[in-house]
Amino acid sequence: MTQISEDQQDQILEFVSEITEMLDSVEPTLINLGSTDDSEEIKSTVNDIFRLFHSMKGGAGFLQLSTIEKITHSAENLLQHFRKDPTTWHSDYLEVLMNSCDVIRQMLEQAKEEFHDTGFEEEATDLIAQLAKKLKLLTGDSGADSMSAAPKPNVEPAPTPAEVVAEASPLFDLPDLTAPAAEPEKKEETPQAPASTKGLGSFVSSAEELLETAEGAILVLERLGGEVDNQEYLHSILRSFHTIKGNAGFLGLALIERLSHKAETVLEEMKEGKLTLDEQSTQVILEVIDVLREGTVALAQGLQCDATRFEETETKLIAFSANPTLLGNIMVEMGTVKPDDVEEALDQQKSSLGNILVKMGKANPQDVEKALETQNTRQKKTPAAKPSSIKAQDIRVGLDKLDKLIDLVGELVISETMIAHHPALESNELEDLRNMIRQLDRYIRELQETAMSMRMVPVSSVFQKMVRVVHDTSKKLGKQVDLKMVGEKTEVDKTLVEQVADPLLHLIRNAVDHGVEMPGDRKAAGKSSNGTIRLEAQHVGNEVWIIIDDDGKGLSRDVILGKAKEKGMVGDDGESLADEDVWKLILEPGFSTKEAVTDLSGRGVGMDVVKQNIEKLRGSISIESKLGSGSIFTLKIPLTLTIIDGLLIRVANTSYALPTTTIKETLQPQDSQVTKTMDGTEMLRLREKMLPILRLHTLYHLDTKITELSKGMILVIEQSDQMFCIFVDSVLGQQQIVVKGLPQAMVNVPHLSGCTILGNGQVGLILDASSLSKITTQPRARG
Amino acid sequence: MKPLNVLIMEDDLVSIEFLDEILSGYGQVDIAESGKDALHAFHMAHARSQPYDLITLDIGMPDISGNEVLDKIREWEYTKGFVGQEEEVKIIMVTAEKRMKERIRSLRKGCEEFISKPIEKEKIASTLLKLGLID
Amino acid sequence: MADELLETPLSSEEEEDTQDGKFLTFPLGDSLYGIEIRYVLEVVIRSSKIQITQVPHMPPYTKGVINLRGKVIPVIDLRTRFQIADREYDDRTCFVVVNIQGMTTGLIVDTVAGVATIATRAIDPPPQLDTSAQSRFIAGMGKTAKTVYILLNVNELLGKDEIKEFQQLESSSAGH
Repeated sequence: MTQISEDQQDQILEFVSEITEMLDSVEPTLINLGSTDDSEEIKSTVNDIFRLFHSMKGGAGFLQLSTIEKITHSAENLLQHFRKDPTTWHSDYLEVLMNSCDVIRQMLEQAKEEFHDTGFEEEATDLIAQLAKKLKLLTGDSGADSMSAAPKPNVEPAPTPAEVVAEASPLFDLPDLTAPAAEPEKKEETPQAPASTKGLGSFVSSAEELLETAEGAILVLERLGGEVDNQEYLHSILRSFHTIKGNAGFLGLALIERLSHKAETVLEEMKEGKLTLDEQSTQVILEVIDVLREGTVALAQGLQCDATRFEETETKLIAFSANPTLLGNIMVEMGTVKPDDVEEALDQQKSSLGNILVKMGKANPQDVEKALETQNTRQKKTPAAKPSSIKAQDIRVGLDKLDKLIDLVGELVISETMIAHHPALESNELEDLRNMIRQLDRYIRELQETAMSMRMVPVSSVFQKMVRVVHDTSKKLGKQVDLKMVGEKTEVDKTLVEQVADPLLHLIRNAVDHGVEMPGDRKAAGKSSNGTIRLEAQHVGNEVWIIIDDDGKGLSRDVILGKAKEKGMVGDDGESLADEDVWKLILEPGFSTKEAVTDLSGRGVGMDVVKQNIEKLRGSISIESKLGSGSIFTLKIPLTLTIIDGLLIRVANTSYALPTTTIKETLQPQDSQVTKTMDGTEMLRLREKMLPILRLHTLYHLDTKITELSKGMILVIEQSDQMFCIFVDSVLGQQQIVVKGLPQAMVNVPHLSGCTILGNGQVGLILDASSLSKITTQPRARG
Repeated sequence: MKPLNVLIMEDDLVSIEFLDEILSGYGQVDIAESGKDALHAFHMAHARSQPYDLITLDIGMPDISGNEVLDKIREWEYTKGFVGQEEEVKIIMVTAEKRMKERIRSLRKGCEEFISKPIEKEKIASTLLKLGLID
Repeated sequence: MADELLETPLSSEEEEDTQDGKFLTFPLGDSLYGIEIRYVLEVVIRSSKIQITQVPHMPPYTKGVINLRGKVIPVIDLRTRFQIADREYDDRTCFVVVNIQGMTTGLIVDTVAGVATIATRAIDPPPQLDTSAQSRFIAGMGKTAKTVYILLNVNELLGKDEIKEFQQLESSSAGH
């Protein structure tokens, strides 16, 4: 192995991280290819995957990761075939491509540590042979007719014969791909831009590009109208409007949808020859493009579209329509005219647009004059010369810098709180200063919110991983499961995304493993043989809810109770438990409904670990289930993890904090309120309730002078429907605290969820109420 | 081999001269000094039914970056159904960019190859050979 | 997991003969100790401003955590660690902040003496006769013209396994 410079190491690390990211995003679409026969989807996905492998090949070649290069080269050759002719795609090819991804991932993992990809020669040779076999199969079957196809009529035969660089691979003979490709018969099929329609942001950028395409095409037609294939250009404009219409409709952008729909209609008529593309109509279409562009720019800036502008343009467009019925229908549908008006307009159609409008009383002559003027000015300047679209500028910032910023803002919040509450400010003369501090407070809170929002990322990265999980798990078990994802764009804190991944993985596996039935059983139960798991994320108040909803067999009350009794988790009174409480039993340690732990359930981790992980995020899990129709697991997690309202308390010489949300009240107990049970448990009588008391100093072996309950303070805690008391020396007060992780050596300290830096510079420890609640509620013998 | 139709997008005069000199040896060369010009030239070439066989893009341009131009060309080709067909133009990125991350992004957007600045004649020849543009 | 990614530094014996090591030296009880300087991030003099927050369920030598300019780091008392009689902290007490397998940790020492250069060839292996548990802390004995330093095996100081064991022990007893 030759010496690798630090620079090269960095390059390899960048390569690995970029490619891993790409694999994460592309792999799920690859899996979808197994189940779709939508030719557009296949075309677009195949292209995406081709680019992925091409990128890998290019990068690997540059970095001399020759094994990766060889595999990706072969995969690229296979994919090139599907790119040329998507109809040849079949899900049989999925396996080998996924295996390639897997092996490449392994190599990337190794390259990350060792900076080379040697040691995978066997897997590589095997894969390459498989890929080559698949390719031979393809070229062998369809090769005969695909070779004889004629080149595209309106384009001169391209001087380049090769589409693919078929360098001789030392590992095997590549089939000849350099022969002219088949001219796909489906040229007329509707091409569609691979625009993502899932959010406004992607809508805006895709619309901008589509408009650019349409604009380019219409300008070409304007200049070279006689020399080029008009149909093709018209079609490309039409497609642009069509795609924008579809996307806008999907997003409920009615104005944009309607205008692009009208434009599409006009273009269709032009294509059919019912309408000619003259100077005037070109101008109107350009205006439509401008208006749509203005609209999307407004949307990108969070503004409303200018409705009047849209309607004006729409009217101009409609006036061009060659189809009177259509025109009439449209205008009536717009509610701008009555059917009678249309009749009237039809009579006068020979007059110019302006005159019609004036005569109809829809516009006054001055307006028409003005519009014409504008039209003329527009005509003079090339639309392409307009400042191109305003795009939100992105810069990449290291997470460490961001965290530092958020830390600092957190500290700023604390310092500000301390100033605002300083006793010196209580003097009457300082009203002005108090006002200024209040203003400062507002700015700081805003700054804090902005800073926190920078850490927000969509949950899609985690959701995407689940596609593969469902695919692999269901395949292994012989089940058929569709994964539906909703709300992938929901944004949550980056740490949350990382920490929720494992619990989610487990719940999804469980849903496939224990929830969804075998296809036969489903049929027998009158369900479709394909099970469906819905994975949804949404914001609810200050929480993000992640919902895993399967239409499987549901939880069985009897089975769970039986198991729980067997394990001594519930007594004979178990039957009286509400369903909700029964479901909760499966989250308890040591509970597993399936006898044999399958290898899918993952390292013997139970649902209790899922619960623990979610509680670490100060979240909760709720379960709904109906026997025979499925289960819904809902993870409810607070959105911001790093700044909480905390109550500061002191025991001995250490400060602790508890999230105020868990504290019902604080009180100084009277001796008469306390009862001691036979096993030594102290109980506090609070109104009608008897609550167990947990002495923090005993729990943590702290040496404090305050051991008499009446000398200290009691915190009444409510956590997951459990109430109990914590006894501390004193309560210091309430403040916002910035949650920091404990040093690595201390993460396992029981009942601590983190630490924080207090106003005096000391470190305070944050108590984990949910874990404390277990000490008081669990049977002692199990403690 | 038929002469190539080549478009060079480049704003650095020295590089233009150099690329022009080398690539003129293989065919007809057009030069675009801005991203906008390049896109226009690309569309015009199609309008004339004399599409380019090869486009070299400089990544850093004053108006539209090389990556954006690349993206727009590929997008347009997609809508035309050129994907995987002969019409798909070969694109080489000319760059001093050393970072792998950026290179991978360009590859993802659909460029075939890279030529690093400073440009070497041999490297261009071998790249054209690799892309099957010359033999 | 993160610490596995980090290169484990070569122990001093494996280094080339010509390279002389630099060590931060400090007295503790009757002996002088040395820590290879590359592990040392900084030396902070303990002041009244820096209060140690006691963390429960940690072994006795882990005195707690401190706030080092916004970063929370654990601190280990080397006297307790080496089972040398305790001594009150005073204004000469120092935190030697070291990086142990990626973890920033403060070592509490009476004071620091300085930096000594000790040639690799002048380092003897740890005394074989000493079979006490403490011997694993010793990487070697460094000899200079005037004195002998006990060179510490920094990676052993944290005793991650011990901490885990201790916590399990503590938490299982905590419920009762």
